[in-house]
Amino acid sequence: MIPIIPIRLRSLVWLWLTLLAVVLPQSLGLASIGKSDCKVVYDGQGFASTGYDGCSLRAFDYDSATVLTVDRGTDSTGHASALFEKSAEFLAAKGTTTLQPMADAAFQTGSIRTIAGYETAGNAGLVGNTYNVNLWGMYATDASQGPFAFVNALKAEASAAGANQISIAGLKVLNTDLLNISPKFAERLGLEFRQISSETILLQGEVH
Amino acid sequence: MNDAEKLKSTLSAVFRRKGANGRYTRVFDDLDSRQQHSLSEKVRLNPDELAVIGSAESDETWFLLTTQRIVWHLRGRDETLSIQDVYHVKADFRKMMATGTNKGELRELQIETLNHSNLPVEVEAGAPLAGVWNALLNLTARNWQKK
Repeated sequence: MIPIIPIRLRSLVWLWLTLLAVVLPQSLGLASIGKSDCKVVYDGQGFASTGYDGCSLRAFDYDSATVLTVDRGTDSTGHASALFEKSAEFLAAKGTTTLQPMADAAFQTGSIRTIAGYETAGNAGLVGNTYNVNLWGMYATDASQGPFAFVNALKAEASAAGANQISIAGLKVLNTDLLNISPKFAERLGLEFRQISSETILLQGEVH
Repeated sequence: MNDAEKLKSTLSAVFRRKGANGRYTRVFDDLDSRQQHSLSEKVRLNPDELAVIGSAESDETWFLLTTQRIVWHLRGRDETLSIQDVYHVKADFRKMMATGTNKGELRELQIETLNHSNLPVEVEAGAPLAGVWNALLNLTARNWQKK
């Protein structure tokens, strides 16, 4: 037997149920769970993503949008758009509206290591087929083998990781010489040089 | 141009090319007369010695690179090191990460001497630090060649 509830009260109950269904999951960072477009995402090596995919896990289980990965088979443009699309979703779920500058992310999550005799500080990782190296600090030690050896060492890392492209970002660059690398010199390194801002440079190229 | 003048010219060019003058850290000739006077009072130059880069932050923290020595005052101590004894100049990336000091805020460099002791120096953060660092690295390269 259906209980007799006044129409106005029934409307209020439906309104509350609707609000609970929509607002509560969002407030818990669960907005995407159960979406019909949820799909497994893969990293550049074909492994299922451990990054925030907006579907399977709550955003709060991740520390940073920088762990985002992209779908298998997409091209580099697709990578970028997928990355930013998910970044926005991640940040929305986290309740923040600003992306963390890569220089800060590389500073906070990076490590220090010696590459071809250069002391470096930063991070590196694979996005699709591109090996991204983000350096916020670098200087030559007495064991420095020169810029060609340095770039070749990074390309070897990229190749070992399965990448066919490499992107080396110099962040918070103080050395004005580095900001003005000549295109010819970059070409000799097998890379294309771009100055992104007054303190950011990008060297990109193929990995053979 | 004698050897001291050549060295001064080279190190000044390195400073300008890889860094820039700051508020109180500059190529010595670009410091204002009050800053030059303050550093000249603290460091008596030899007759054939030329001042190259100076940093005149305060009486407690200053730095002068000459064609013969590096002289500085930090944390209550005067330090002097021959430019022949500079083996390496580094930034302590680990300390920066541990203390949350980002690169733009970095003021301290570590000078490693030929006998491998480390001496901290402080200059103005940013482009002036880059200029000092690279001028000192120019000296280290000369010393590595001599080895």
